[in-house]
Amino acid sequence: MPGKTPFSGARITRRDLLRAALAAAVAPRFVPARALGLSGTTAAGERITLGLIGAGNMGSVHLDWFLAHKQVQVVAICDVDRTKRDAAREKVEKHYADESGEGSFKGCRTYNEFEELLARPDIDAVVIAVPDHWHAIMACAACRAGKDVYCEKPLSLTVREARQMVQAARRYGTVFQTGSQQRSDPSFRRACELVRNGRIGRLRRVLVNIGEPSQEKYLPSEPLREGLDWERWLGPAPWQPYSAERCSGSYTGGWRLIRDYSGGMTTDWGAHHFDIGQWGMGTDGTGPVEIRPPRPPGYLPRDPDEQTGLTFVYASGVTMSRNTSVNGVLFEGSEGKVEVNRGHFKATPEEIAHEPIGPNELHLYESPGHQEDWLRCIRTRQRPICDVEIGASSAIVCHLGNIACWLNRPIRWDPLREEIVGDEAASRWLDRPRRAPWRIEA
Amino acid sequence: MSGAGNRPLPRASAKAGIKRTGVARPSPAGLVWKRTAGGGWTTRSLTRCRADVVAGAAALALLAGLTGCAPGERRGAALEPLAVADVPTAEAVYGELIDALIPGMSQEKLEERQAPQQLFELICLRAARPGCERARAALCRAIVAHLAPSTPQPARVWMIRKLESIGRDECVAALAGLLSDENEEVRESARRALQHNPAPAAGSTLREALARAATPEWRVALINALAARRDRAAVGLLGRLSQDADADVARAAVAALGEIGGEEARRLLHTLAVSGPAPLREPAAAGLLALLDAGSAAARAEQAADLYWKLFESDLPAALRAAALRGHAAAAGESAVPRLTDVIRHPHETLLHALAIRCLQDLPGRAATQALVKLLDEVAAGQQCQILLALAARGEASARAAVLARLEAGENEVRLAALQALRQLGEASDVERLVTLAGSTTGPQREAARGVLARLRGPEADERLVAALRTGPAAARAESIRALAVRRFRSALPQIAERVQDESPAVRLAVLEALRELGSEADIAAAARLLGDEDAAVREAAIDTVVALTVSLGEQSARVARIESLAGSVPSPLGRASVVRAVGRLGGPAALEFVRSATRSMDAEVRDAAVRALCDWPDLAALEEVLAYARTQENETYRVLALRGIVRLAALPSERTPAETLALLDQAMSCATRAEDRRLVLAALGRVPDEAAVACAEGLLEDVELRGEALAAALSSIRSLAALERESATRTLRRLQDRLIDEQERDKLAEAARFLESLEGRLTAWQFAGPYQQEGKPGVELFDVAFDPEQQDSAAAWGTLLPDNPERPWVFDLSKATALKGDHRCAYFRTAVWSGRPQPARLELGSDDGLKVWLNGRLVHANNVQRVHKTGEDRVNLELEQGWNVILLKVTQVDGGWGFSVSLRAGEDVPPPGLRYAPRPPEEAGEQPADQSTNSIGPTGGTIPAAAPSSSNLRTAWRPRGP
Repeated sequence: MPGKTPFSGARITRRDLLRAALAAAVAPRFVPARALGLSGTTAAGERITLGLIGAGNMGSVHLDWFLAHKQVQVVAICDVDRTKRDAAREKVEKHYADESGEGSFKGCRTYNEFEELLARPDIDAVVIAVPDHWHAIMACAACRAGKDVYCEKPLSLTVREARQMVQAARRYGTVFQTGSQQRSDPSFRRACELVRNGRIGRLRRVLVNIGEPSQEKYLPSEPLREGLDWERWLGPAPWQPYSAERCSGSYTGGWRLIRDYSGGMTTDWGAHHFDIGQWGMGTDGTGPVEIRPPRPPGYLPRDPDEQTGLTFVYASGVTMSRNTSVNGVLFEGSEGKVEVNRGHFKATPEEIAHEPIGPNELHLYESPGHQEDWLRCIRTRQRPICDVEIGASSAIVCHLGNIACWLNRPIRWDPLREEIVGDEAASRWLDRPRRAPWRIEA
Repeated sequence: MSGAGNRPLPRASAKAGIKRTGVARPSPAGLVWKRTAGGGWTTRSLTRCRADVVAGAAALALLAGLTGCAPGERRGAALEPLAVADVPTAEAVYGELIDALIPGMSQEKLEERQAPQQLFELICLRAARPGCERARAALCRAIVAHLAPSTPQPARVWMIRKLESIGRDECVAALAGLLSDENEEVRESARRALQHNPAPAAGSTLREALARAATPEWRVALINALAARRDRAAVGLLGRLSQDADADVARAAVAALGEIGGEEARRLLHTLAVSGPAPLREPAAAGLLALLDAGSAAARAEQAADLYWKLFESDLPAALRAAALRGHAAAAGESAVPRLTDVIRHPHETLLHALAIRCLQDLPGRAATQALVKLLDEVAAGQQCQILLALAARGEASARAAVLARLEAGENEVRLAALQALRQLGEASDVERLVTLAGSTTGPQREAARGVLARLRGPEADERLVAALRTGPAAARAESIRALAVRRFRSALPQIAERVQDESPAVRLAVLEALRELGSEADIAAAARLLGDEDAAVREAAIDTVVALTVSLGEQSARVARIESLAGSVPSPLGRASVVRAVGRLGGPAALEFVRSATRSMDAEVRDAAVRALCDWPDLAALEEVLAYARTQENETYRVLALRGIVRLAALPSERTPAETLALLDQAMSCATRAEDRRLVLAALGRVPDEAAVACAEGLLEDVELRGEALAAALSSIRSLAALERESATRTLRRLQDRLIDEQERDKLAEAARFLESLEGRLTAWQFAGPYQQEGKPGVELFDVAFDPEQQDSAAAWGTLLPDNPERPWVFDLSKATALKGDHRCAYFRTAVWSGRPQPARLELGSDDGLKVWLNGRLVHANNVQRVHKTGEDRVNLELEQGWNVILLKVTQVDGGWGFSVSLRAGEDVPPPGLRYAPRPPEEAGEQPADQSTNSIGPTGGTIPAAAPSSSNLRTAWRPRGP
């Protein structure tokens, strides 16, 4: 195993603190909401100071959004790729220079190590937009450092990590938004409200169109790219030689499809569509009791209605299955259907689509937008629409689906105790040993 | 069932093989892994191995079963016998397998390890399933026997990683040995395998290794492993290591104590947190807090509460003190209220104010509510907001009065927070206050008050709203009506309808809105009473409402008759004029007849409404009258309205041919007297893809006043024409070049020329056939149904597909095409490309959803997908023949978006040279005169007017005129 990881766990040394203090001293004075004790009271003129961890595809999307927000000041960027973090810093500095009209701006520091960013006392909140295998370590460390957290979906790489993240967020009172932003889309909320209020009768099943689980990838070794800290990129994952494809953030390839770093499309899209399934079923905070892997190729269904894809069975008898013929998420009830996706909404019978939800019915959380909701909750200390517990429930559904697929056998799940029942070998997949010296500290 | 050794050999391996002795051991070189069509893997060497050794034969059978070489067996089924085989045999079989797989698993190139490593994983997963304990143990023993340093490292590491998932007691000794292996990756893999191994011996092995570990890094790694195992037996050792000279080791040991827990760990952490060395106090406190959190619900809650409070009072970092405060509140329950209140009042604890409020929010009991209410009067506006939301979350009715008080006194943001809180705490008795507030405010406050009114629970709220619609200020009455509509309280319709006589226009408008939302055909009469209202906005709303309420009558003629019938009951001319306008909105022959007769009314208001309705008619049915008004010299207003009506109709997407649209505009131009009218017509002319349209615009280039608009119309028309008739567009553009006089005009022409050039290789001229559907078949299944255009003797009717995107005319959005749009269907599209010589080319295709492509009758591409359209997503290399090449597409539609795009390319974004384009080969076009056999569609359909006038007639209207 070439090289050693320079930092030990989420350790913050005296040297780091000194460096952070220095950073704070040379940076322009932005008054962090927490430092003034203004969480919950921050007036419009007082900005929430933000650090971005991960400046890749999703990180860039978030950076653009938060830069445009007048109540946020982006003060730090962390990425293990020097090219990406420098580009992000330049974007931040140009934005604030343009905004102030003063020609230049120097108030955004860059970091290779996230621990240094978290050690800065002047940062209120962090956005974590890195590959999945880093989520738990970084998010728990951020909670412990007293930062509010927006963490990209899926929440975690494993079932156990998801629970640890919930515990950390609760312990430190973190306002923790999981990046399953479909919850903030009015169409998805509308669909779930119709289902939850019985507009399609008794819910029978949910069909969800997502891709396949991740798997091992055997990629040829390539010369290491200048400016990339490969040991840090791998972090807690098993050592592998560098390849550009392995660390590519492509939405349809790269690390998302590799088992060491992600659960594949089951978690990447499952954290959206299974998450909506959970919302519509009203099973946030719990999960299925049985998970069945897909039927083998060539299997002939007993009846045309039988689902042959990955299927979750809930205690209520409702099932949720992967089915590639639906558009997004399809809820089927005894008296109708609702199908919803981004830019797509279809209800049967059609008229239920326009029926308002009455005053005596269930109204789901109305979010003003996913990031906006997080900022709002940072001020009010309420839980955001996709609080860590919700993100954890949905991520656990996805992980259990992957375990059933990888093991190619049904598994039984106790959602209360969060244990696989009667299958010790399957239980071991609930977590993965992390490569030394990395551990989750909360 | 007999043992694995007696399994019959798969047929493939029974073939005569190469000569070998002893155990069957395929040579590394012989293992050539290939992916099968079914997605599995196979190896050629299977067919060449001898089967004369029992274990070897079983291994091969196993391998054959796993790789799908065994006929009639599912992948993996061959493992079944091992579950009952005697262990020595099973271990031998697995050993053979591993022998066979190691060379492949260790290939130098990573990508070549894939098949054997994945097969090995499959074997492991199968062996470790419930009920196969003997097979699992046998496999693990076999693996352990192959972990010696002589095994190549990639295979060793991979096998150790599998032991991490399936190994138990039988692996511990071997893994213990590997902890001191020379190879770092092997050591680290073994450590992780032991960490995940449930056998108690794995824990003792790790402890022993930790005691011997030579480097701080290795000690940290082993400590982490013991922490993950929650190894209580390691607590003593970890306590000693927390004093280690190496800071990383000490910190890891402290963190591990927090993970492992138990009385001893808790005691150690407490000591360290209170009196330990400075660098360890923070991790020790974090660990202690984790342990307290895990146990605070137990009987020791009181003790935990004290401990939490001590940590809170220490000088720990703010985040840890915050955690301690939360822990204290959770453990102490209601008795934590005074302390939390003190924190909120403490001027030096500003970092924790928000957290303390949140803690009060989460506490059970009334004391917390009372404390929050009291604090409302003491804290700043921002914290008042948080407290209001906290009270809402607690949902205790006793807080309602305090929340209501904030509606009167308080800053804007506080009022908004109070309204948000009332969504949970509001009661029916708040109705009057809320409708007054909604009626007397604007912006977010009004929206928030309306939000509360929409959510107030219970029938009493509806009753109070009904009572409120008769009393109070007008704005409040209107808000009551609005709230009843939003709440869908249909029982209130009679009382709402009564308010058509309300003195306030705002209330009357609210009534009409509510009737639209809740009413039916039975409420038309009530709405009709406002058709003659003195307020124009109310009249307009009444027309909208009457039209909307007739929807339930179905047939258009029935709707027209119902509205016509209102004329008799509407006393005023204004009311009768509104009836005419309402009928005009519906369109159709019956409505037209009624409106025509209204043009002869004695009432000026009615006549005016009728003329306006005709000028605004939704289709060409009233064209004759509209033209007459356009030519009138008597009423300038009607003339302008009529002209605009014609131009509007010409711009509407329809099935007209370009020549027919041009004829319409020609008539409009002949009526246009003022320069601004002619500009209006010219703007519409630019959207007509016809060479004659360009000629018309050219005619006005000599008109100094209109030259700019005329040139813009000509160039715009050429751009549109380019999509359908590329050569004609190029020719026309060249002709125009000679008539330009200055640099600016030449720049505009050059831009148009560049656009035409950019279309090279883009296929824009298409004909369509369809849509095709099949009862009960989803769109995805239509992909393989051969409809008429796929048949040899096709009699499909083809129409011209007009581009819908002027900037990218090769990208078609079929969901905008009325003649095609819908779900679960498909359509065919054809075009012709002439090539001067045979040449290779690449088709770059995008589609939403599935796509099939034929070139000159031969299928060259098929992709049955569901996706959004993206240009160039599919690429197909093909050979263009000399002469005309016919390209036929089939595009399927599941649901949502539907579209396609096609480009021909030679290199990267370079079109093949010497292409010409046509919707179909000219020889075929010659068989069918274009103006008879085809119809055309744009984004939506429409009616086709009378035949276009000849081009000689066209020119007369498009000449410069004197002032």
